[in-house]
Amino acid sequence: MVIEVKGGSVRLGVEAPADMVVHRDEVRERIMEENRKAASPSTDQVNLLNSRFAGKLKGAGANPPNSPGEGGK
Amino acid sequence: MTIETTRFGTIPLDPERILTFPEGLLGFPGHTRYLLLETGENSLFYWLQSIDDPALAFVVMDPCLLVPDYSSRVQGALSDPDSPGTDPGLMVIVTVPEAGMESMTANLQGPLVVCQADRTGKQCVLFDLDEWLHFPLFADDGQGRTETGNAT
Repeated sequence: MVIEVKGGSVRLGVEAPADMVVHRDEVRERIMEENRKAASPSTDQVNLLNSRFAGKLKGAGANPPNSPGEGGK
Repeated sequence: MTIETTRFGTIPLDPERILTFPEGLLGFPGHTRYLLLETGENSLFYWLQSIDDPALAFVVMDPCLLVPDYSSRVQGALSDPDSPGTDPGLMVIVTVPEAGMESMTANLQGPLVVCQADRTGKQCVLFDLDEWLHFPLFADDGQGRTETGNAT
């Protein structure tokens, strides 16, 4: 059903069983946990990572995921 | 203008290059401003360095190097009114394990979606793609997947 129409976009609502909400909380919790695990690796680890990938790069590094300056103001 | 970091010491801060995540990343709600820094020459990997916490940094990469059609595959999941921009920049966080580079994974289930125009982003959640939470960077043969992409 339509919940809200605002600024040209429509928000739809779906009646869902409560366990879907639980599933969403669980997924969010897992991503939080993964973020914590991923946070702040040492530069040694990352240097090792780069040397492991050296030679496989094919210049892909020239396109950063969100290059500073690109698409800016 | 400069900021202090534990890894790189004092580095210059160009306000135009600040990435803002108003809600923070999941589990890190208080850290909203980041800088993207190279991890090495021609590297696939970038540091997402917190401006608010000198010690906090993540390693991120372009998910399209792992799944070439990642952008279109997540588009449906991201097309809600709260998602930034129509042509967002995508990054995913790499988890570097303490030991064993071969078990390194990228979190393709929780991409960082950045609106290129105002450099504001959020961490989105792809609820139906649990298998992408730990996406291995190395294929079973130990070769980097980024060379050919994930062909499977």
